[in-house]
Amino acid sequence: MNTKPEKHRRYLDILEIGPGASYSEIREAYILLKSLYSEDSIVTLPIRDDISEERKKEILEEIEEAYQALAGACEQKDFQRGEEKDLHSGVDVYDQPPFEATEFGGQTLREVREMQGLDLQKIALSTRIQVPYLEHIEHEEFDALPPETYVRGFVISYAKCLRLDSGKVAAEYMKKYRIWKESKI
Amino acid sequence: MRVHPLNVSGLELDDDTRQSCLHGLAGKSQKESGVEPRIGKQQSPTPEIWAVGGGKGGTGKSFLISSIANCLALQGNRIILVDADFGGANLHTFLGVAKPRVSLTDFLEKKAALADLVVESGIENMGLLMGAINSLGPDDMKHTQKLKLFRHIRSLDADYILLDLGAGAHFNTLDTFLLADKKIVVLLPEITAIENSYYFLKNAFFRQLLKTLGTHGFKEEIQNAWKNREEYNIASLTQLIEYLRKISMTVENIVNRELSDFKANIILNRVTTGEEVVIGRSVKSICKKYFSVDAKYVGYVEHDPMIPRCINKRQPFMQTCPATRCAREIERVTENLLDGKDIYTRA
Repeated sequence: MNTKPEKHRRYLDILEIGPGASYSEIREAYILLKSLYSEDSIVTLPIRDDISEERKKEILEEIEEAYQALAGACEQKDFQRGEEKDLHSGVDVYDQPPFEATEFGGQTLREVREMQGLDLQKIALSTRIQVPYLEHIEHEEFDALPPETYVRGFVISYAKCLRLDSGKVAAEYMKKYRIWKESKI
Repeated sequence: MRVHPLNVSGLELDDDTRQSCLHGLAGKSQKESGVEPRIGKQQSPTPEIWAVGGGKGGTGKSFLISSIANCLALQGNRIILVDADFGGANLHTFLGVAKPRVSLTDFLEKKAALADLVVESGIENMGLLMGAINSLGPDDMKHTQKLKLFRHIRSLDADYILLDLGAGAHFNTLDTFLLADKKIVVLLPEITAIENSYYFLKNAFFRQLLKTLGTHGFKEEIQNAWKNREEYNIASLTQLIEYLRKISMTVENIVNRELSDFKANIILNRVTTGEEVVIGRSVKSICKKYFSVDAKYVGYVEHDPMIPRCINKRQPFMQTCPATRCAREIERVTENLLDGKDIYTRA
């Protein structure tokens, strides 16, 4: 890394992330903080007069500087991501998984999820699918899952939550499911 | 640093200890406790004190602290849950036990020792100490009484003492909050709850600063600064801190030490959508950048209609619905509090 250790430490502090944060964690923090200090929200409205406009500008500049430096360092480490952003979600858009995926199974879903720095709790909260089911989907423990229609619905929601092409993922995943189902008969 | 009995010998309490936990929580020997004594405190290890506050009423403080107490007790820790809502004590309802006949009033009126007022909570390893329910309004507590109460709370025999505070930012509530080693603030994803928690934290820190600077003989400086804040151009806590730092090296050192010692733990309660989860993270960021207070976001608990139903039926939620998502989220919050872990920062 080009930045000196103290400087690196300071950048992490500004973005409020720990050492070893992944590219998507850095980006998530950046998008959250940037919108937090540039727009009014229920979190900032009650104390909007506690801080001057200049200080706010300073904070935003610091956030920008920290992000550029940390994201730059990540790019040098061959973290290549598409330029598209989804500002509403705070999570990167992954049109393509960052590796060549030939088939979409539970393993791939898990890898994509981990790459985005998301844990199952978070997925569970936004998809309303319980954690054990998500685990079964990832481990392809088909017999522990509810009937086929539900599995398909779950996989679609999960894929959407990861910003993947849900139609494609579900089609691939269900292919595996059907192979298992036929072998059972 | 003390070792948390969580995964040490806390779970292997022998029968004698268990008995003593149930009956008056007294007579514990060093060997059985599974807790390393702090340096300089021989014989009786000091209990760790957790307090939950946050300004607005109805955010779920009492529900969360009684559920967290339940988690800690299940791990084999000896807990005393103190209802420090002077004037509105109702923790017994969350636990589903009858209103205890003894309360802190008896201690303040010198009728009984504090340890004798701990009653059974209906949960193993957990005792309950009632706040003043009958006559005593918060203003009636004298300063000397308060100091004596705090001293006696600290010397209670338990692994963890959990304090449930009332709503508002009355100085007695703030002082009780400042007593804690772990300071917990409960938020809702609502603007009024967020607003009040800022006031609460700011006032709590200001009071801490006032106290420490007072003991070092700088009380006048801070009071003077706040009284003449317009003259000194002080409009916020951060500006006050900046001003104080410039007084002298000694004051600067005290302020810096207090800032680094003061840590709040944020719990976001009654979350209904995934998007709301980040509110805790945003509040943490604001605390740091607007008034220099460090906070950890230790977790969130979803909205669950079962919770008010359990409370109304006077059934402890963690015992009645242990398999629900909320119960698991509360367990996770407890773990994060024990480990000092923020849900957004990887260790």
